[in-house]
Amino acid sequence: MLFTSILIFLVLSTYICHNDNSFNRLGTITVAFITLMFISSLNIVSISNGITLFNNWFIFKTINLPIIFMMLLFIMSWLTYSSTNSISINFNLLVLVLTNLLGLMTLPLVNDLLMLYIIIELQSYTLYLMTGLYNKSYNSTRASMLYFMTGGMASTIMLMSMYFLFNEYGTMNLNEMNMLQNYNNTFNMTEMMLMMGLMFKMGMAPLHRWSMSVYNYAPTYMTAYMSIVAKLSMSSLMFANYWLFDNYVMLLFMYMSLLMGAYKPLYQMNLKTMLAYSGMLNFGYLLLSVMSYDMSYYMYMMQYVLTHLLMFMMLLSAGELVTPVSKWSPLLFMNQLNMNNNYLLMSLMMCMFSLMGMPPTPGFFSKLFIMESSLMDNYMFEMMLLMMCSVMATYYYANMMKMSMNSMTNKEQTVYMNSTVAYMMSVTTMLLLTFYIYLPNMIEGLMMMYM
Amino acid sequence: MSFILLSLTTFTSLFSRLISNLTFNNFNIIKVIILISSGLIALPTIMDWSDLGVYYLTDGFSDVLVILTAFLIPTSIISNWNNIKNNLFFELVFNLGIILLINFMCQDILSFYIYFEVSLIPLFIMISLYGAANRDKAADYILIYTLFSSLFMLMSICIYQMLFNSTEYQMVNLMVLSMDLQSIMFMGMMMGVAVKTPMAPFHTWLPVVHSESPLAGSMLLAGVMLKLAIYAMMRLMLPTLSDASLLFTPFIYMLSLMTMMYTSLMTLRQTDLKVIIAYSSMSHMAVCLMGMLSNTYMGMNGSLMLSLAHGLVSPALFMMVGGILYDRYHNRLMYYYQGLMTYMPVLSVYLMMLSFCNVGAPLSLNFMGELFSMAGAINKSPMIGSMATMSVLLSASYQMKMTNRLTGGMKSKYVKSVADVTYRENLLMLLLMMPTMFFGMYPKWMMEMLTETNNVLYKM
Repeated sequence: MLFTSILIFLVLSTYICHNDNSFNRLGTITVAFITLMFISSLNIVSISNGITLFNNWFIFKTINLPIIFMMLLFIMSWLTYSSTNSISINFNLLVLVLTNLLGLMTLPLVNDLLMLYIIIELQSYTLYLMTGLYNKSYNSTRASMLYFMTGGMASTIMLMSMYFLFNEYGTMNLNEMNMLQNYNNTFNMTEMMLMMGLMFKMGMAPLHRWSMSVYNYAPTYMTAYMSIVAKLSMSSLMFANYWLFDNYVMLLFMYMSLLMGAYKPLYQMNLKTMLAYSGMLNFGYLLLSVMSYDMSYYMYMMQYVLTHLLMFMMLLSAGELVTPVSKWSPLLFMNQLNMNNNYLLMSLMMCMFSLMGMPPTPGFFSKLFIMESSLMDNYMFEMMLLMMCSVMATYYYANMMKMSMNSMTNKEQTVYMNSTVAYMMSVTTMLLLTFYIYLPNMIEGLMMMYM
Repeated sequence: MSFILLSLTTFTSLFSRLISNLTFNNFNIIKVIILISSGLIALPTIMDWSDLGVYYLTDGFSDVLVILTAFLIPTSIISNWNNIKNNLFFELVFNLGIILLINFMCQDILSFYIYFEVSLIPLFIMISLYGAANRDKAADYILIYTLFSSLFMLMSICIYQMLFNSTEYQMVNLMVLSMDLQSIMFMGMMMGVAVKTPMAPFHTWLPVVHSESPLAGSMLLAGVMLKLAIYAMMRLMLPTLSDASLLFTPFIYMLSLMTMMYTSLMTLRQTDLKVIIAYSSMSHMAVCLMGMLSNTYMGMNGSLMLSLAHGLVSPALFMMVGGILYDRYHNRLMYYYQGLMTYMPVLSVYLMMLSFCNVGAPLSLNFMGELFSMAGAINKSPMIGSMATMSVLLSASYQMKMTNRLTGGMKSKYVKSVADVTYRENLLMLLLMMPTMFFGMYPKWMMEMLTETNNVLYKM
């Protein structure tokens, strides 16, 4: 369905020349249909070990389904947003997004190194193009170029490691590799290189500096897209093939990301950079749950996606309420949070509390699950570090909140927002606020998935 | 986290905003509706219910604190009746009150932790929106101090969850853990409790937060939130980590003694009136902690009585310095005021009586509480206990210094004379003073309520 729609839109794009929102709306409906088909085909899950597709290239397992579902939902709401504002009207955007979605959805299912490379390139190239899509903005082209350079470097590292892996195991298939690895349990550098490539692409510390610049330079809603979905699909690949990666090296990345993500934004005034660092911090927590291979991974992902979706929607829609820094990134600095819409700021504050890990927001529960699973696996020091870093991070979240609170005692003014965006934001806020109510049911479902 | 809580607060906020819209933005209606619902909120505590897998019920121990909280919510709303004109503030106080109320009712360690933490959210917003000049610092202090310390508490709770797959009080109380595990968990729990009580090295947040937060916030903080630590000690630590708490008692006694001495001496040289009251509550909470760890019924009862007494007297003192005097002069410096007796006689009488209550003079509930706590402490450890009785002397000295300074002397000609206590303030003062005096003169009811509890909890 996705592939067909890409083709249809590609052909359509050669015929239709006028730019308007209807194209993006059509895209939203397409993604909705894809989600529907995805849900209806979920009963394959009953096959316990998964089902391999296309000559063993892909494997359809239960492990990654929640993540794919989350990606679809995110892209759906992202497209809904972009169909309501004017700067996102670009004819090529939808085709690129759908192509990227193809890459995103298949990446976690990959079962073959060659396919891994192809899919990751499919995903990355579309992302580079999307970043540079608005080439009227100087920063956007800059971001795109930087992204391309660093992404290319990471791909090269990955390709090299794939060569070494093939040299060592004599197979490209990940399943067979797993079996072979079980028999000779040796530590080798090549898998580490593969992981380094992936970490580079995800922008984890100490290989993170490029991502901060890219997220900062790119237009805000492109930042929203790439800071969530690209990381999501890559970490989900790592979660599914956790046996391939060495825990000690992953620990190194985790320590660095936690410390950097907690310490660096303390000196920042730039909201987008702060969010990028906080995303890195969150992925540091996620690496811990990947290492302990636990359900807490889904929990954390869910809160990450929900919170960031809401936060970016807020940052975008608040562009109409403040004096914009630029057309592409209207809300850039922390002092701009001093704006005149209390309800918007309240939901922003709830996101912040969730990122801090204050109960009863999802951030608390996901952090609780991560702590529990890491205790179970005796990652004591890591858990302590997680606590320390989350408290450090609390300081800058609190700072952001205090900035946004300055205007809260003013007389409330009625500010009209786009009703679609307002609706989406209120639904997301409700989902975040009532997370603890549907949490027990969700745990049951996820346990089934994970078994 | 209770579903009932969410629906109650949402309903109240929406209803009050709706009515105020219907009456052409009449703000007074919102205040009245929130005040009425803050009184009605005590009704659900009569029942027991279960909600999202957590039981909410009370026994005599929590009854005392539930009554205190239910009493203090409307009181603190009335205390800010005239000086804040924003519905958000009253909603925040109302929410904070409900959270604290349910905190004493839930029968689950993890839920306790959740309410314990979630009460920071309204407090943080309240302080950074309506606080005094130094509010940014105060908001950071309350958030980061408490969050950091209680994460250690969460770690201990995670161990419970990992071992038993449940954190219900009843379930956890049936288990006996090994001594070393108990010790580690006790230390984790103690981090949270020590910061919240607060104990001497971790106390620096309290004077700042109490003095900078708006009046209702100070009242609820001093009145109820500090008691959460005592309650956590009693519910979370004494029943399950009992061996470890016996082992650590000397250490905590030493810390409490240091807290008492240090904070009392520090209070003597403070100039800010609200900071003085804040410091005085620290030394009283240390007495409570000693009574709680005395391993006797008498000490525990005394500790709870002192908690209740302090929960009534300390908000009244805050009301006096942060409300009555501050509303009139917008100044919290002690040396600014003198000779209140000459032109505010009624206020001076209240101040004298409450000061005597606060130092634990006989015929006040504070006296009963301190007597029993100290008796328990001396029973447990004669040396440290008898040294701790010094705290009565020390608290008398700083409290009398403050009262003297305010009421004595001549009226300064540089200070405008203002009207004496209004009806609203009179009502508040009497509401807070009457129970203290009544239970001080006739503590039998209180004793009966507490004794029954002990039977339920520890003799079953």
